[in-house]
Amino acid sequence: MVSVSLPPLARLLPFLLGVLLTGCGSAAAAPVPAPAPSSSAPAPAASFGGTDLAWIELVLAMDEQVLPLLDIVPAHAHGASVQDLASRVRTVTLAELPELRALHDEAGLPAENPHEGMPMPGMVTARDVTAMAALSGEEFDTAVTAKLREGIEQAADLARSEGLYGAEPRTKALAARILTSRTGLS
Amino acid sequence: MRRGMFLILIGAAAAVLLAAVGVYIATDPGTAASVASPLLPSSPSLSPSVEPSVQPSVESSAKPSASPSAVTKLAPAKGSWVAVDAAAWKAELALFDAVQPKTVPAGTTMVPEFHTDCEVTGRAPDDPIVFPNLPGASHLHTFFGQDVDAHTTTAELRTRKGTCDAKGDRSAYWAPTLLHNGKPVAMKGFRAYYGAKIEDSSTVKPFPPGLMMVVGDPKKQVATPAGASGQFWCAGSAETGRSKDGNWPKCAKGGNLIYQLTFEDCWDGKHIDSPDHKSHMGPAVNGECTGKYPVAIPSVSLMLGYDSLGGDGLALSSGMASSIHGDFMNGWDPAKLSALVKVCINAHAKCGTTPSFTGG
Repeated sequence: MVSVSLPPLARLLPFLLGVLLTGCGSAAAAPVPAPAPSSSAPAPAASFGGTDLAWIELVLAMDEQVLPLLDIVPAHAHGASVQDLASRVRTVTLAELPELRALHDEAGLPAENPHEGMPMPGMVTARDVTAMAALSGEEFDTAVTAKLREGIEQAADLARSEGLYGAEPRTKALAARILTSRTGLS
Repeated sequence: MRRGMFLILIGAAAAVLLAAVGVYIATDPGTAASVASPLLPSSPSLSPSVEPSVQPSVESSAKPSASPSAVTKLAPAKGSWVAVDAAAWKAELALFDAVQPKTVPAGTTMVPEFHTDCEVTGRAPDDPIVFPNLPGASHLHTFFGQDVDAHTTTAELRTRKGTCDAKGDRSAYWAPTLLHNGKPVAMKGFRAYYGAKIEDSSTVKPFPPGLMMVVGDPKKQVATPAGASGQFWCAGSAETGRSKDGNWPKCAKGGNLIYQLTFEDCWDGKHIDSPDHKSHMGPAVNGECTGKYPVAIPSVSLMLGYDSLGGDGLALSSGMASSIHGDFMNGWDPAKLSALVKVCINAHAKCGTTPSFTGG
């Protein structure tokens, strides 16, 4: 049973604050260029399924978008625990990024991040980073820790789903490693 | 009132963007109000459960290779370009061709149209088109017509009855949830209008089997001040002002906030899904489906009616008002859809929820 997620006001506040701070936000995204399907093109060598492709794009976006938040931690953190958490998240993120990017390219997915700018579970948006950069002291630590924890849990949930429903073996193996690394952080 | 609404609609949405169907709706006495179909349950305890036993349904046209190690970097993988089942499509076209048109009696409103009203089936952070088999991956969606979770497939929709009142419509429709101070806003009604914007409505064919499509851009986070395109608007009452941020209308009492989402109506004839879930669909050129998108299919407009008068405190689960988007999974019974397309749309005549005519 998936419970209905009703984002509490607290979760929307950074977003709303971000909107105020950054004005209108990013300009309208250019449409993803449609790769012309051609019957003469060689069949892809690897068997990426719909779940594999969605998982790769989503986890890649989550990993790339958490980095700017990790970058502001040293200058803003109040306590040592958030510093420690941020550093451990950075280690596991950087470790998996090269393989994620390689799988992404091999699958022929568009270069553009399809999720940029969207509020999504576990995703750090540019607005989140702006809103959190405006905080200080324990307030900063609490907000960043909650955001990182949310990302860790979401990455673990998504890795479990990829393990159950994915098709491409190396993608599933990467999901298994991500599940292990995130379980180690929680 | 009607005239006022018409002007507001034209002004707000720059008319050009609105389908003939949409303009018709706004000028049709009582139609905007009738969008409010049976009042929807306001209880949020409607989440579809995720059954772990659901068969994994990896939809992909990618072919497994004999030697995965011999991977070379390729131009676009075909992984999420999903080819239409050519035999099934041929069979559906044969079924469609066999339908006899009906004589349109005098007094029938000559607008190519039928509709289906669907109830809310639940809300969940799932999206089986964008995140197949990844429960919880998405922002919150409100689903209409069918119980949907991350594992739902078009094949499965055909096997179960939904909540749409046009017989044979077992499709699933969804959109981001509208939130007021972070809490979901109840729907006042949901109607999908099926029509034709192209010049010759007699060329419209039914949907191909398994069609999935997305309209709108959830990444788009831009201001939508009065006069901007892509507006939420007031149905059944006048707009009396704007929210403090300018992005939402304020509606006078008696009406409600509404959004009309219109999908592309020309299909590439080959794929039922594409990497961005849009590129297999495209617009008409000079009123005709041609070029890359040669097959005319019904123009679907979702009328999302909210139990809200607009104003402050609103946001979509996907962000700003500009991030509104809609998803469609075809679950139509081919015979029923064929009859509606042939009798109503091809004859350029107005029907309700069945292949019979309405006038006035």
